[in-house]
Amino acid sequence: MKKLLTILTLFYGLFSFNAWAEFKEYKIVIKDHKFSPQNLDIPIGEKVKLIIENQDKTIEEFESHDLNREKIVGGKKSINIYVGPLKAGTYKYFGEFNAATAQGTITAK
Amino acid sequence: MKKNHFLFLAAIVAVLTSQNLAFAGTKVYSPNIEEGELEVEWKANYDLDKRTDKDHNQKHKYAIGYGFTDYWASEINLIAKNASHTGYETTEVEWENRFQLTEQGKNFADVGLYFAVKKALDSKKNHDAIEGKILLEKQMGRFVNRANIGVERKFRQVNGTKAERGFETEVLWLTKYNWKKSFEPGFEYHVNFGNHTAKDNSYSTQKHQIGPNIYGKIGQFKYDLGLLFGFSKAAVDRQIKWNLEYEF
Repeated sequence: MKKLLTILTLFYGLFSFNAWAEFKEYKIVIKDHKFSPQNLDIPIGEKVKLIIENQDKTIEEFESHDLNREKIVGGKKSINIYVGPLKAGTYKYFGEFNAATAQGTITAK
Repeated sequence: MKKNHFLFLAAIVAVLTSQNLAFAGTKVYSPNIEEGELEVEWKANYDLDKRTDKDHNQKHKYAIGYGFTDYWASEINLIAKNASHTGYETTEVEWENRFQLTEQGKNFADVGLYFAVKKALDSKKNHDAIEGKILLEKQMGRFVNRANIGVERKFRQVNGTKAERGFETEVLWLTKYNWKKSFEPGFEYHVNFGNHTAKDNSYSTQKHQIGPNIYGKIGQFKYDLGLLFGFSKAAVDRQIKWNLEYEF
């Protein structure tokens, strides 16, 4: 029982820690199967919130191996993606359903 | 669904159902869910041990799963085993559910829950069971660290023998380097602490394993291959494990 309570307390701590922190927000728009802005600059060493707004009617999937993120964004909907803190560099992402046109980068500097 | 997806699925089913190996895969689950992802998966273990009753034992899970929402994914598994003294047999059907509780990357760690119900196909041979896990993930630069803390409780009588009282507990750990999409090297550490009501819960009765693992995604095909070395007396000497997944 003591071990279970310890684990549950640890679990609660991990769940709630940082839950109310505020992050800088950056918007990326999907329109006509393209991301805008195509390159986004964010500060190094900080966790930020990306708001991916899909202005197309069709769904898209925001995918990035560099950022380790993969998330569906429905047509005419928005999602939040948290990234960072990132080291200096350029991180690629793309839209899986329209990879030929939906390409973008995030530069941490 | 495209025609080639159906053909691939039919081929996978044909291959899997022709296997004479019964094998229970050990997968370190992520707390993060991919909404809309439909997948078929083959999870398996193959044991190598100098003890004849443990050598060449295998366990398989054949699974089909779907991410219904961005916080809930569900999977149905057929479990089969091939123990050296009993031969190949399908043993249980399992219904797994994962729940994502936090937004990925927002908090100190990503948190999720896993819950599964296992039903024995032959009630004279195997117990029913329920299993719960806490799923944790923490990304540090390009390193991804993942932990599953789980408990399992068996039920019902088998041939007049009651299931063991209490819970069996385990911890699974994964660390991998996010190098290339097609190849991510890492390692895993697995420990099964046994039943907490057992008279002897000493280190020698626990199963501790550690070993290298590789992960990757090639097109719609995901793989997870590892070799675990047992370093406690109760653990098998070596265990080959794999999780192969196809996403539609």
